[in-house]
Amino acid sequence: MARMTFAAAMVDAVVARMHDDPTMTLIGSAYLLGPTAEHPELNAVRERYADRIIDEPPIAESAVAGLAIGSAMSGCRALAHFGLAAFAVEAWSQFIHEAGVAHHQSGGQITVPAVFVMMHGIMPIEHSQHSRSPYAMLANCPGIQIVLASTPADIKGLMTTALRSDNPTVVMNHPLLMAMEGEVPDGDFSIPFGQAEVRRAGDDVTIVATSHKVHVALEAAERLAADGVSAEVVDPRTIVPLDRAAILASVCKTGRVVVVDDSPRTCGFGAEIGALVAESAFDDLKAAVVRLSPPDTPIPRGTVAQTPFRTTPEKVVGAVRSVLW
Amino acid sequence: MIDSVQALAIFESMLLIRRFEETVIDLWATVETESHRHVYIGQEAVGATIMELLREDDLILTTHRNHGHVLARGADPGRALAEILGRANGFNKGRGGSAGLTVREAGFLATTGQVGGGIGLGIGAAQAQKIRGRGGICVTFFGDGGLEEGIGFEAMNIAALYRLPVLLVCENNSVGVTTGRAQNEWSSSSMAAETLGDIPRALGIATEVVAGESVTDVHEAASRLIGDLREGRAPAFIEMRTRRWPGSRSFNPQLVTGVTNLDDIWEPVSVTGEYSDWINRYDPVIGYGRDLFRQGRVSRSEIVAMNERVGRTVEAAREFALASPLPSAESGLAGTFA
Repeated sequence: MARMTFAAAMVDAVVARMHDDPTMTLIGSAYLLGPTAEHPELNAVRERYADRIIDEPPIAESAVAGLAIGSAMSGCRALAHFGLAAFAVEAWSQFIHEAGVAHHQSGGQITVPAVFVMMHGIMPIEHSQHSRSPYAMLANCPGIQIVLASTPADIKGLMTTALRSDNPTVVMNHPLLMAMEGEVPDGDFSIPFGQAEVRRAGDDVTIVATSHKVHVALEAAERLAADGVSAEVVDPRTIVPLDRAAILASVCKTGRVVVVDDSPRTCGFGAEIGALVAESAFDDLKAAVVRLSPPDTPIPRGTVAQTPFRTTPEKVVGAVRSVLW
Repeated sequence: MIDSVQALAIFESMLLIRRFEETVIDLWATVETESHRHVYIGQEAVGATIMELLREDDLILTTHRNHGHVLARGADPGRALAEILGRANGFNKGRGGSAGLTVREAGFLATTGQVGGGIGLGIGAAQAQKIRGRGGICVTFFGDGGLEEGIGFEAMNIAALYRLPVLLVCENNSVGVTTGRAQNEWSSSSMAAETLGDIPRALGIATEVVAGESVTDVHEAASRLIGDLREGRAPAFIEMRTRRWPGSRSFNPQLVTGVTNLDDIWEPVSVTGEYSDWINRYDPVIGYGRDLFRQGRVSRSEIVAMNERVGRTVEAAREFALASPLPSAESGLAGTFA
């Protein structure tokens, strides 16, 4: 175990795979770790494997995605970094029509071992075009695995799995996670996709939370515990594939569900969990499902105007109280 | 000059494509199929010649108009035809159909009906070839319409910046189309550029414009550019200008030029009728047959024997495809993830 940041743990996984896989290409900018982060190990990889680095490609998300996907179809793994998920929307056609369908449409002849990394969430100094969490949109396009990690250990383990998978994988990280520190296993460490983690056990209510909102939910659970409310926090870690069994097991125990995530409300991840619970755990429910999602409007610029869009521990506590009483 | 062995191989490949497509059109008219309907008639010289120039480890991207590429690369015609008819024994298990026919074992990475999408994938294949470092290249086929999408420009820019070994083959089959929409033909492309090669040329990419009906011209330009790619002078772009085949129709191609009559090779005066101009001037199969016949590189009896051989191959493919079952309902749920 070593203590390191989320960003460093992700680099750990990427660097290890660049060393171990002589066909892997790394595509993207210095912003892989966020605008201000520096990481000497990543820089060393960039220098050592210069012919497998496409550094600072043109502002051409579609073709950058094509570069990664075509390389992957050829049997050479690729990781492409897009900066913001908002930018990667330009590459949607390549993600959903090429990477997402190639295996199925070819009758299994083709695999796409490509990983696409991007930042999601509210960007404080940015306007609406940059603040996006479009993972539910992608989940609506079958064929793409989606990772939403919340801890340094998880990003290392999940990124390692993504970089060994034969399927295309989108990894969306929240900027507020990047500097967060935690214990990370040494050496080769992977986490299977489709295995949720119960971040905190509890009996009264299930909070399903993803990415950075896991930490908001844990903070809320801590405050609720002080009032004698026992909240269970379930982190799916991957939303495709989704560990439905773990979510339903928790709901069977608690009978109450609050979903906390960053995708917009309509047809968002919260809506999916609400539908899952209604379909498969209706008889166990003691209260209606509550979604804490950003409202259905573009996310405005500026921290004050963004207030309604920021899910705080206070809002989560309020949502939990609404299903308890 | 193309050596005679290679020349006859190219001609036989072209004849196979022609007979295969004639059979496809016949099956579309007589057998119930759910299918996109794009054929390669009139463009045989491009696919057959370029495939003859490729190595086994080269990679290929193609489009909805792929039948000729797949056959010229040596893929089994029976499994190709089964796929075109959407049958379970097709290369894609019936999930690709005519527009998605892909043969990975023959070097095809993806056959995409997303117009222009393959130009993006092709630069990735070229990057993979560069990493492998064995001189392999990628050939990306796309139509003139493929350049109407933005990704083509993005991908050509990246290919040029990183010198990726990709041969961009733009099969411009809109030549001569002026009133296409009125005749219910596939429409012509809508490009402001008069010469499509001007677009890659602006990015510093080596560019050729070739008469796509001429095996000799295609071979001359393509062999030179492929040689350049293997030696690191990359990427390259060829606009293959081919006259639109008169039978082209949206959703329902018609064999208006008839089943190709090889007598037209040694008896040019026999060509008559409304489409004699296309047959005499632009039909690549008849045209190359005449070249080889006049040069004394192939005899009438050799062509007849070749035609019979090709006919048996296509008939066997037809029998295999028609005997193949449709995919089951459950099969549609399979294979989303590897």
